Amino acid sequence: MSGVWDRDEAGAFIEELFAKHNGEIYAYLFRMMRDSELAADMTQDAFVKAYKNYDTLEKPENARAWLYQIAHRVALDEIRRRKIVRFLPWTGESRGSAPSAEHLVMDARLSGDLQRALAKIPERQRAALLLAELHDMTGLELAAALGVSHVAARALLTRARGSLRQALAAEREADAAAEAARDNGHDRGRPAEVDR
Amino acid sequence: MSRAARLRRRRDHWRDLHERARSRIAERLDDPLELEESAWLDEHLAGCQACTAVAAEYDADRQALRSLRDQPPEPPRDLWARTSAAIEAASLDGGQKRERSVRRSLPLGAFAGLMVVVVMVGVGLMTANLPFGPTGGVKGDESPVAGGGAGASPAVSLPAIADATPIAVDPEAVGYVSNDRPGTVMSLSVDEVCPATDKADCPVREGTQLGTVFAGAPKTILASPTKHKAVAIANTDAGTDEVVVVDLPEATERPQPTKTPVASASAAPTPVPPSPTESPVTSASTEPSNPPEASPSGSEATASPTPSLASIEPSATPSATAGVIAIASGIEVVGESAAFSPDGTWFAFTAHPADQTNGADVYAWRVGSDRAVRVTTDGASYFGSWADNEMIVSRPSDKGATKSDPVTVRVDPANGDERDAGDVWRPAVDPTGKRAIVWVGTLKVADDGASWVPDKGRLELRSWSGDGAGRSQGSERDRVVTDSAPRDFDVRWDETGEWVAVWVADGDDNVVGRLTLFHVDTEKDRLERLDGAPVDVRALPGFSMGDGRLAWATPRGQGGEGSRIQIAAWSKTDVGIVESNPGEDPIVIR
Repeated sequence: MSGVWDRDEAGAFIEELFAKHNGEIYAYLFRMMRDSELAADMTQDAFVKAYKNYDTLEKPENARAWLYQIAHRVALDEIRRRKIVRFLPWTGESRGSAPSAEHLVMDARLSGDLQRALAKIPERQRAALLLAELHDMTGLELAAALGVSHVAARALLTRARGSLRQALAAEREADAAAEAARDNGHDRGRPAEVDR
Repeated sequence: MSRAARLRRRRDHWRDLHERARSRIAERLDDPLELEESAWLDEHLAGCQACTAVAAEYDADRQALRSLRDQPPEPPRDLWARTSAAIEAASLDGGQKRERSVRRSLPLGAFAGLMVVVVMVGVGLMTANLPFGPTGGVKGDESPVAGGGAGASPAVSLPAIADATPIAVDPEAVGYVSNDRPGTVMSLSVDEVCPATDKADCPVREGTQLGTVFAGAPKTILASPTKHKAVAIANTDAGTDEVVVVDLPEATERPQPTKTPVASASAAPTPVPPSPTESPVTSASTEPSNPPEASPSGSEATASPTPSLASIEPSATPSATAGVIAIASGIEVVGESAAFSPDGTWFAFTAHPADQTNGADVYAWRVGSDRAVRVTTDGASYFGSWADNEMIVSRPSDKGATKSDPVTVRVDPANGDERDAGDVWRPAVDPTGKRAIVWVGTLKVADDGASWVPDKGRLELRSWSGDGAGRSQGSERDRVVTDSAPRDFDVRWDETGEWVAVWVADGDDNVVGRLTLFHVDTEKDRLERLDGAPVDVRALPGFSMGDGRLAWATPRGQGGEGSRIQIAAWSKTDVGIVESNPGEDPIVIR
């Protein structure tokens, strides 16, 4: 597999890989980016990169982790790019375009404290948590997907759990404060009961 | 001893025992702790309620995260079609890990046809002084990569350009109506576009105001092939649709006569004779043809003598006339497939009565007449496209059912005669009559209980002949536009039949959709998505296609930003895009 790059072989392999894993790769990228259209574009990008880098896959049994590693890099590249320049490209949207209906539905599905907390933790930690808890990656596979050593992956995951716990606590506190404010407002606006 | 173990044994780096415990609580969720450390943690937790609570929080957080597994986001159904096309493009670009130092050239055949067509169309437009014809020519002619210069030989491979270099394209303009200035026709001239890799610095373009034409805001505007007149569809105050014909204002910018025609009749596009009410186009290669004499069969649409979408200033230019007529009213226009015939003598659309007393039928308006007529009467017919000067009309084979196979017929607009054209849905036939984008599959009744929409199947490229759609030689994955079932779709070919743009509605309301520009490999009968060309970009309904460019309007942006006009244009070697400043719901003149 490594060494000589055969176009037909690579194409057939990637097609098979797509059939097996496109759903989970898309889900991972969606959860990382919270944007269904962007996730679709990035999934496509990940598989094209996999095709181009087919010869770097040493063992077919590692294909899933290898694919995740590519997708992870695609996600980090995109996140990094967005930090540098704030515009949406031609291939996606006009600058500042509105979210699609699908996006809104997806967002609602994942909304709430947990989603907001996930969005607030550092992206590498978020990736580690998502891969471990939602994509069944552990140990060496997780390390390979994140492109770090096993030790570093474990440390990242531990930090991620701590970050998420703190972020969730902050979200819940904010929710409670907002709810208290609403209740106070309702009380003030509610007409007093009249004795009959 | 491993580094991890050494780290775990460095107990002195904890601020206190609780921090150590909480770290271990998180760690043990993923891997068992060493026996010694595990025993220590259990002992600590037994005497520390706070850390026990933290352990419970970690468990709860984990359960909450894992609950997201029950709601996996679903990838779009056309993801493989998109991905395989991108892989194919990557493969053709050189495949393995090659960065693009040289941009991919279009097939020579495509360019040869395109270049001649652009020149022919350009000359025709210049002589007619049309609104959306060439408007400049300076940069395009100066650039070494300008596509379509009359003196350029299509056999010469022009030098590739760096990614950051603007792409010079034939100077042409697209028209749109801006609601920043209600009812005003604008022209956006483009002679350079930006490569996809050079988006950040690409300047936005400003449109030029041509004249105020509409009293209200039309929802659809289609220019005739000669671009002097347009048909506009708008909602009236009564909530029904009105179809009116208006004069378009002429361009304020005169094209520079820098080009000469190329004497190549074989590669010329379908001749575009003038419509009966329009000024003739001076072109050596076109012969005007008379419009059909016979009156269409069927009942007439209700004509309104005083259109509510009346022109308040028909044109800003003295040469324009105040000819504004309503050719249909009291109807609701269905879908996005309305179109002029290639020779500009007919206009067809699908509509049903506004009171829903009947289903959808196809209407045709003969240019010069005062009203559109209903050509079909079955209440389940949909206009697909024109093939030569026949209408391609589709309908369900069993309109009494809730699901059906489609059938398609060729209809003579002059007398309503029908001929069978196969069992596909709404073919959009290319100007050569050799290919079509068609829905191959079944239909169903839409949620409104009246309309027929695609159910299961796919939208794909097929060969086309007088008998209808046939198999295309290209592989399936190179033919398919989408295998999802869109509520509606709109397909427009350019004059060469080598470029086609497809808009597919998102969701059920046709408010927004996705637009893709394909190049057609006519030798292999396959669709190609080229670098820099729009792929599945979000677009409002209604786009213009031709003269080497595709123009569309983006949906409104977040934070109240308006819509933009975006234009993809192509030269011999490249496709690039520019966009306008945001505005209020611009309508692209198709």
